[in-house]
Parts: sequence; C-alpha cells; structure tokens
Amino acid sequence: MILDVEGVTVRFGGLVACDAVTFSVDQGQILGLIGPNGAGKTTLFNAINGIHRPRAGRIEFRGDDITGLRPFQVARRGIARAHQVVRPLNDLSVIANVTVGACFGRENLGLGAAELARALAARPMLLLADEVLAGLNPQEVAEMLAVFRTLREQGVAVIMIEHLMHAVMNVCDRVVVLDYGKKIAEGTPQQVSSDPKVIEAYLGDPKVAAKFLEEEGA
Amino acid sequence: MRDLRAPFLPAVLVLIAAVAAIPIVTGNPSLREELFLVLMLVTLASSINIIMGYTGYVSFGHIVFFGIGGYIAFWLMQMFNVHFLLAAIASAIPAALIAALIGIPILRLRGAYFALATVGINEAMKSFMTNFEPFGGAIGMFFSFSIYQQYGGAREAAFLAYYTMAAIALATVATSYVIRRSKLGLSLMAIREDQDVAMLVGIDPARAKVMAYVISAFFPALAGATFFFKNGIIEPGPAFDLLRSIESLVMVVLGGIGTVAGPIVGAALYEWLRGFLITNATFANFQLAIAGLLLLLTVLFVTAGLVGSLRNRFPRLRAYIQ
Repeated sequence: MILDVEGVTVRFGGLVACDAVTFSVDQGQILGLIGPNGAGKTTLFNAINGIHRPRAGRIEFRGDDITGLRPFQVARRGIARAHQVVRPLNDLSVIANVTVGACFGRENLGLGAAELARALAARPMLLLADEVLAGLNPQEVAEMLAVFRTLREQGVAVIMIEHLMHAVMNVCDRVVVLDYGKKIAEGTPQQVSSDPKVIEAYLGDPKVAAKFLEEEGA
Repeated sequence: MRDLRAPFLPAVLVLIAAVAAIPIVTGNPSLREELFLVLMLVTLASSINIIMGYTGYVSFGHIVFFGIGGYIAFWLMQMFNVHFLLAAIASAIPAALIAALIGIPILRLRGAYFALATVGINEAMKSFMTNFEPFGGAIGMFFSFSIYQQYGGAREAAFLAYYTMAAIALATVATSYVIRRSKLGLSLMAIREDQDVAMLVGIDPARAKVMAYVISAFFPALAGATFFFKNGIIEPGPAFDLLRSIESLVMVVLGGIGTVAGPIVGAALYEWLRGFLITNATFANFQLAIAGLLLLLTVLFVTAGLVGSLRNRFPRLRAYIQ
C-alpha cells in the first residue's frame, strides 16, 4: 500500500472532525472519498498533507511514518494537492505556476532543466484532488477524468473528494464514505451506492423517510 | 530559463559602472558626493526589494541594518584601527546574523504586523545605542582626523569610500538579479502570492524568508559602514533614521516593486527630484510633502511603478527589462 491511514483523529476543540478513520490506497488506484458536507473529507486531506496534526492515529506513506511532518516535507516525499477553490499564484505566469510545482516537489528540479498542472508537475506518487471537478462543464469533466485514468495507468495513486457522483462511479476503483468524521462504508462504487448506511447519510433514515411519505399520503 | 537575447544584467551593471566612473574621470567632488548618495540609495532600495518586492514582506524599519553595520564598523575602526574594508565586512556578517535571529520570530507575522515589528526593532535599536556607552551613547562616536592618514589622506579616503559604495551597489543589483532568476526567487514569489499553497508544493517558507531577510540585511550593513566611514561621525539618530527607511520604500514603489531595475530607477529618480526640490526656492520646504504625494499617486494610479507598468504595457519589453 502506498498510503496507510490508521485510526486518524482530528479534533478542533470539542468538534471531532475525523474520528479514527482507517483506509489505504495502493499504487495505480483511484479512491473516491465521499460524504455529506462537513463529513471531514477536506480535514482528512489536510491531515495527510500535514496542515493539521492528528490527535491520534498514524499516517504511513510508502512505509514511512509521515504523521506530523510539515506540509513542505510531505510534498517533497511525493504527495501533491489540488484545491477545491482554484488557488493560482496570481502574479506569476502559468509557466511559473507549474515550475513552482516542478521545482519544489518530489522532482526537485533545478531551474536549468493551472491547478492540477502545478500539482502534477511535481510528478507525485499520490495526488489528493479536492473537488477539482466542481464548476467544470461536462466536456471539461470528461477531459479531467481522462487525466485521472492516465495517472492510474502510470501507477499514481489518486484520492479524490467528489460530489459529482457519476464521476465517482465512473472512475473510482474503491470508495470510502465519511459521515460526521467517521468512516461508515468502504467498497466498490456499486457496493457503496446500495449500502443503506450511505443512503441514510445522504438522504436521511429511509424508514423515517418512508413514514413521512406515508403520513403525507394519508 | 536563461534568455540569451537579453543580456539584462551586464547592461545594467555596465550602465551603473559608467555613471559611477564619471566623477572619477572628471574629478568633480560635488558630483562624486551626489552619486555616492545615489549609489547608497540604489543599494538600500534594491536590498529592501528582495524582502518587500520578491517576498511580499514590507520591512519598514530596514534601515536598522544600515545603522548596525555603521556602528560596528565605526567602532572597529576607531577602537582597533581596523582597515575600513575589513571593518565593513566584519560589520556586515554580524548584521546578517542579527537579521537571522530577528527574522526567525518576526517573519512568522504577516502583513502589517510584520511591518510594525520592523519599525519597533529599529526604534529599540536606536534607544539601545543611545544608552550604550561603549558605542558613545547619545553623543555617538567620531574619528580623529588622523584616522584617514592610513588611506593617504581625507581626499583619498573619500574616493575609497566612493569606489566601495559603487562596488556594493553593483554587488547588490547583481545579487538581486540572480535571486530573481533562481529557485530561491521563485520560492519567494510563490510565498508572496500564497504562502499556504507554497508550503503544499514543497517550499519551506520559514527558511526561504529568513534567507531573503539575511541577504537583504547584508548589503545595507556594508553601505552603513561605508557611509559613516566617510562621514567621520556616527550618532543614533542618523544611523537609525526611520525617514530614510521610508524614503527607500518610496523609491522601490516608485520604480517598480519586485523588479530588478525598479529600485535603481526609483532611487535615481527620487534623489534627482529631491535635489531639484531642495534647491528650488518655492519647494524647498515642501520636499517631503511632495515625496508623500508622489507615493500616494503612485500607489493609487501606477501600482506597478515605472518599470512594472512599462512591463505590463509592453509585454515585449519583459524579456529585456527585469
């Protein structure tokens, strides 16, 4: 496994944003990370990146413990991050933006030698993609999914947070579902989408929903 | 990313050296004094630009390193009769170390808080020197005239100071250019744009910022050592003059923040304007008010400064003017 997340807990005061989350990804796999708003998906990314230090648990990348490393140290080991809100380095050209990725990530190129491009320029082994499909038109979504598939062929592991379900179903090998910081399901996209717990997390308790429907009908 | 069509750095260095050579050839002392000041301001403005323009940290009290360099060098020359050039280098190294020590805590601050901290440090250093008797306290220190004997007399010493200042200015501009084209420069500009993203792509912001701060402290210290060597007197007020600090910020903004040529153009232009205003009967008393107005107009209407807006207006120039 390229990344092993074991019992990772992130707490903000009294709020448990991630509650003993455990999962792993292997090379050439695309893992979907889904869950309702506020489930702790981005927080989990931040913990892997080293922005938040987990209160408990271990994160291992290629067999090394990377728990509590600083973000730039994590990046240099080969984990890249693409943000939900595009965060370009405004005053720098597109080329300079991509060069920043190429120069300081795992590749660590010398000078002699857009969001996803900057992250990929580091030639990462693991890409954390935080809703990069949000706000794209269908054509662009298809292009991005092709990029993800190419990455998978090249042996890069990808974890994608995504609300676009058809994209998740299409491209992910496995899906992890978070709700209120806890992992409530894991499996293939088909298994997960028919899991009653997942349906409940997204739509509420099916029995309660059915009861409401009955009452309305009556 | 080397661009062979545009030998920008050699051109600028040759231009500065050529201008600096005029008083040496003509032997005109008043022009020499004027250019000495311009070269010093080029050094100060280019240094500040490294931390303010490239990195985005406005070092308001940057003159503190000028003062520290001046004081240490002056003390070495007066107490131990150390040769001026040796004293200058011996003063710039501790100044750079002090920058590292100060920089580690205060570069964690962002925006206005950092700017305020640098002002505080300058004022604290001024009070310290005012009360530090080994460095002469409030009265400061002064040379006896005989100290210039070992350089062949006062006139020769003034020329030595002038050559040195020209060399410092050239070294500062060259360093500024090299940084801008280097990996360090790219990391500084990434930090300026978004420090959090910079960290996520593998840049260690604390290290890069302290590096920039140390480099930007080194050259002002050399300039301070040279200035006060020629001056013959050093006092806390002129050594840690906040006004001079602010004026060098104005030069950077005026010329073009974050560019290599900007601080040079800004320093020359500002000094020329000041010379014009001071000698003009109508404006002599409003010199600083006009400088303030100029800053205001630049910030409001020509945000990128002279060089910056030229580059924006004519993208083709970008290959030729850094």
